[in-house]
Amino acid sequence: MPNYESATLFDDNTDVLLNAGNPDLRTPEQARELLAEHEREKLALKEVMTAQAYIRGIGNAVSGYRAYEIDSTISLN
Amino acid sequence: MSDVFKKALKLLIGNDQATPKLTMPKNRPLKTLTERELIQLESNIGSELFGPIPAGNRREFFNLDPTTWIWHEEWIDVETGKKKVATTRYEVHDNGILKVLEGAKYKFIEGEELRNLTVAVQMYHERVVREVYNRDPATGEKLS
Repeated sequence: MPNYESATLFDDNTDVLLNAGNPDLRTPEQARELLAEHEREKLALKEVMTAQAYIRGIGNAVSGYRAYEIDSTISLN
Repeated sequence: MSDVFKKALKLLIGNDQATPKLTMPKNRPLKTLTERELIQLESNIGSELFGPIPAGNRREFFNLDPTTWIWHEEWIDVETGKKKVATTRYEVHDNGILKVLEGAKYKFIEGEELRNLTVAVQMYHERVVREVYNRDPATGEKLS
């Protein structure tokens, strides 16, 4: 459990200092909320990247089948 | 108007709107079909993924190329009685899915809209690969 009152709240060792420089900048509650918001943003980003990869894969597959049907020189392998 | 929108509109509108809806050839001579005809077959399925289409409306949903999906809707405005048309393009970018509307309106989608598109794409893949290309969506192997 991170020490929310600390001035050194890091995000997963990525050197993102959430409370940089001033330990009085945020209350423990504010720091907790900031961390929770950061977690939500990370989850949303993960969802976006997962969906992006999935939709890209399906687009490649469907377009590949289409191209294969109209151009006999294309191989599916 | 961008080239992709022009290509999509050409596919949507074409010059043979009065021709009957394409149906899947029974002996699967797909190699005789053009890209546009294959996309029309795909869109026949894509248009069914979002539920029943109200009478007088037209809906198309299809994959245009590896990184572009098109959703096109035509309906009659009940207040004015005029035909309304909306074409939405979803582009796959490295940092997400960009939704592009005509008039330079665009945004990266997230949340429920992104989940709905993902489900629609998943259903499209399942049905189009099976029903148009006669292949197993999971393996890509030809179905007997």
